[in-house]
Amino acid sequence: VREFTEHLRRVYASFPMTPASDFSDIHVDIRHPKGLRALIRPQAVFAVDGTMPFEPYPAHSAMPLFEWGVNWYIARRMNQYLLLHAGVVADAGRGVVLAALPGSGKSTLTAALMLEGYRLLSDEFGAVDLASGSLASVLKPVALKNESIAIIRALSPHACFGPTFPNTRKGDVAHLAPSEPSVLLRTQAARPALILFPKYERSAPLSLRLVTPAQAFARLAFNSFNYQTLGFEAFHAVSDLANACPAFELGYSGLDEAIGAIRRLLADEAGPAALPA
Amino acid sequence: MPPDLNEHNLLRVLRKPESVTALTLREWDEVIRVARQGRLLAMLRYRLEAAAVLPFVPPLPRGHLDAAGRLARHRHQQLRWTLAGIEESLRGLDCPIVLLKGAAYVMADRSFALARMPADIDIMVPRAALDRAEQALLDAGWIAQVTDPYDQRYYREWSHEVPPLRSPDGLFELDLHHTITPPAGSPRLDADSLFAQSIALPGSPWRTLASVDQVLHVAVHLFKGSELSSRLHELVDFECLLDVASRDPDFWPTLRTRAAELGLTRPLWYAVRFTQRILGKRLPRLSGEGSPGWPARVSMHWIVTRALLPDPIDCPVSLDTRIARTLGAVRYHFLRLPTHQLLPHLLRKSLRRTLGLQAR
Repeated sequence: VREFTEHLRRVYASFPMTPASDFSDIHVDIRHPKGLRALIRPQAVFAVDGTMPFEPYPAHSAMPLFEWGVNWYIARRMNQYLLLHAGVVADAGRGVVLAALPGSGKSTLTAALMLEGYRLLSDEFGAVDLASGSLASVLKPVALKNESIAIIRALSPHACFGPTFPNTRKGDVAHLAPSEPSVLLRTQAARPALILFPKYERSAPLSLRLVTPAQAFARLAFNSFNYQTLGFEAFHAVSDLANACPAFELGYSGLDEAIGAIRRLLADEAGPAALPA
Repeated sequence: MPPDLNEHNLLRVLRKPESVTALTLREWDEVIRVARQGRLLAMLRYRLEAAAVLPFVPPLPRGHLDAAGRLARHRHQQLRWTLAGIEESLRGLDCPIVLLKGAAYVMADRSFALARMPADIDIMVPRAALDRAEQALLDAGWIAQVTDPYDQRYYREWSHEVPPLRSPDGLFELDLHHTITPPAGSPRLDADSLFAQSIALPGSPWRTLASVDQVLHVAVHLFKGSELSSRLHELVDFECLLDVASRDPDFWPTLRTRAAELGLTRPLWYAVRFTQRILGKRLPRLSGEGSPGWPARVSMHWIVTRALLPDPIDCPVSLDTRIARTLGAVRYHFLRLPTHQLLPHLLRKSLRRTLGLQAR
């Protein structure tokens, strides 16, 4: 699918090609379905492990199909990790988990942090290694929706975007390429240092509320892709995480303010006690 | 070109788990994908663990094996939970309830049970209690999966089970059996004796088939009740059951006698034969009992060694495999229905599919 190849090259530009002799976690095939349909309005299908879990898409929107398909597959299969529904960025090896329900501005804030120089690990999966408790990078382009696209574009002239796909089933979608340092460091894990529950609210003042480990546990566990599947292993991983790092609910309307607050939280060596509750 | 079973990486690893130490990452890539397609990823992990070679698996493929093991563990928990619900729904029935296949292995704590990925639940009740059992499950919120009247009738008249039911939470499909083979196409099997020889599971309301009957059930399910396509995992089940059951010195003689009694010597012969040929297992010879004539033997060998294996990756399914699968399907239908009923049945099915009406 020609358009797809082009789009993929653009947003995955910094990623090296994997040699054929290597092991790959996922094998995805994006192709035109068979038949005469190709002549009229070409479509693209997503195939993984010999199955085609989704209906075909118009060929020009193969990129969002690919991104969603891969996310779907990771969420279903990658039980190597506890998969929190969270964006993750890191600063000097210290990971910030931004856990939130869809629509709370998680991807937007994650993208803004990346453009501020934080290393991106994922905008979707907080992948916790079950043995070590560290955060693994599940690095893919950041999927931005609707108004977020213009907001993030305005933040940095260097942001590398794929095309905007209007009116997909999740509204307008555009993919932001991960920054080069994020790609270079993608095999390095980060130690979790801070848990945030970001909540975007139009014209709300910046607010920061301490979340107890017990509350953080519940909010992380019940917003995870595979907490149930992993059973007791997930219980231990989430409770270790909730006990190890301070957690806050972050209400914001301005990205600058939110980023400033996160910077201060990370810089504050005194820990949660010294911060406003 | 005939498939070279010795060149098949997944088969080699299943046969000789120690051989994984020689696999390159590229080969691991293929083994993991083929095993996943064949529903054998958790089984692969189990065998490697049993052979103490799991630590030699490189981290990336190891992650996928562990992930599959976790998923299987989770499915078993769901299975136990769902069975507890079924037990409650069927409590008033006052008849023996026999767990078949996966559910039986799990509840009897078979060591290999955790290595299987349970897809559906099979239970068997006496024919006389069938309608009441079905109704009790429907009352408990199980959902009938087949609503078309023709298909409903097909199940009830020509099948050994009622149309499948889906659990209220959608986790499992349940096949409610009254015997283990379709009633048509061959001499009727004595279901009463299956119940008579069944074994109570201590501390539970469930029963399982006698261990020889469990073995025969897998054989008959695979070589009579399936289209053979991509069913390698069922042959592996057969092998696992034999491993457990044959620790009893009387097992083989009992198995032969029982196969003859139930009229299942042919499927047993095939199951033993292909466990030897495909999985490279050493098994006692079945001196001619159930052996088909040479034309059937040759053609079945041709079909099974192609159709049974999971799809290859990154290349289309070869023409001879496709032919083998079609033949496997044709064979299945002929075994299931008498010809004068089979032809109208298939005609009706294909017409309906062509006309785009809903068909299952």
